[in-house]
Amino acid sequence: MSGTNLLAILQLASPALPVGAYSYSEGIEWLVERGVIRSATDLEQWLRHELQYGSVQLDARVVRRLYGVMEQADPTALAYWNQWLSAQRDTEELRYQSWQMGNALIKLLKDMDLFPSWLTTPIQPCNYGVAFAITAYQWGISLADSLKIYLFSWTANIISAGIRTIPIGQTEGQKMLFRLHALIQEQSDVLTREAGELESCTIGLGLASMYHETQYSRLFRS
Amino acid sequence: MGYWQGELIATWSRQEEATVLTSAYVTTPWQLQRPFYPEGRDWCHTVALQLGGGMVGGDQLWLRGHLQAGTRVCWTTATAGKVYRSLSPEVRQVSKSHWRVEAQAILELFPQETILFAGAQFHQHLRIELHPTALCCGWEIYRFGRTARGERFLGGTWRSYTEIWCQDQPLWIDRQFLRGTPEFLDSPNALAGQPVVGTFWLVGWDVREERVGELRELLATCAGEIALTRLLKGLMGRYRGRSTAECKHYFISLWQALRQEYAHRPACLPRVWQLKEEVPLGHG
Repeated sequence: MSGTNLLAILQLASPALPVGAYSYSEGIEWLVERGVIRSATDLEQWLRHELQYGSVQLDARVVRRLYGVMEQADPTALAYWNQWLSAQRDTEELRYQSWQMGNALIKLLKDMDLFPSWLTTPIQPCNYGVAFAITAYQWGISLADSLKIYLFSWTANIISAGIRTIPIGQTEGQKMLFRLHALIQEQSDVLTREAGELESCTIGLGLASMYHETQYSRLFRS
Repeated sequence: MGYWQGELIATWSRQEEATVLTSAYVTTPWQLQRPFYPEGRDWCHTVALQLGGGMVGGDQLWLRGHLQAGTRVCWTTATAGKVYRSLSPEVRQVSKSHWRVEAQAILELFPQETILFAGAQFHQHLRIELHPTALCCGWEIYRFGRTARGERFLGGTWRSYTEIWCQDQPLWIDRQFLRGTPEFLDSPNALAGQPVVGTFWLVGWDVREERVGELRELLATCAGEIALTRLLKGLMGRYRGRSTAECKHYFISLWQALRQEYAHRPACLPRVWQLKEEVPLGHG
């Protein structure tokens, strides 16, 4: 799998990918307002836990399964996992986020004429994990690289939310992202190697996102 | 080695207007009290007990419940559940429940809290198959460690998988886990230093957004963290705090408010609960 096109990787990992990730903080905005996350150190600890045990880790495991579904070109299994993800979102806000970003990515793929021709039944609304797996596969990106991109983009986006809310400096954010490379690499290796249990520890994320749904003054979307 | 492999299989049927427990197969340590009807013949209150106090490593409890069409069941347990330290991390305490809820039936699933001792290896799986016209409402409340004696949930594992399906489609999937390490016990991602976590859910019943706002107002005075969100077809609430009594108090007020909608009647609190009159706000 050394043949993956670096440029396709860069494009899928780019914050310019028009899916609107930038509008979501996934609970960070609430945690900052409540003083739970006050510094770069707090944010990094939050991210380390989420990458290992949180929702993003579970989603990456589903992406791994979906990548196999793409190899099999199995529309029924794709619809199954899409429904599974909708039922598993921790909050309504996170469900709408997944749907909005997923639908945007599917639209892009269709506009680029790169949507798989065998996928004739519409998957609507489409969760981001499903849209991401379809896109990564269609762009010829390997499973290992896809998982790295998934975890990296998520991490970069949450750091960006932290930069805007805590706030911390851009340089601080870049340093943190660089420090997290090792963990992202390690996690994506584990996820590539073994299917693992679909489980997560999202008590904190769930509460933060539920509270964010009714937070009075917000920069970020619900 | 004498591990419990307890099994409880129960079926409720509708006879005229009544909900009747028509069959029950029970093996130790499960026990089933005789059903009672504090709010009329249509709503069967059923109380289960676990003999022997609590679960040791290797114990397994199985529960299969079947609510036939049109039945109404309020299920609870007589006492708090206890899960003791397992002798080894590989030796688990497993509780598996499977419920089938048929047309127009209502399942209320309100077990008392479960206390997880340090070193407990508790895995619980709950799966409910719901008919499109059926609904279920329930909660799960856990205390991590016997905090009254200063114990923290160190060395243990907790898994709680809840899945509610309707005609082979998942309506709600919640697969939580945590390990008894300072990382999980103290981080804001998991327990944030609090010993009690509870989850409340209503599935099979659409709750309007404005209604969620009203329900949130019922929770405003809670000292612990408690919040609500909507599911694909229903509603879910999570509590994280110090007190099982406080958690129950707010879950009961949610149940009371919602029961007026889905059953047009007030909640009828099972007599075995023996709730304290005052709710300890923030301390328990």
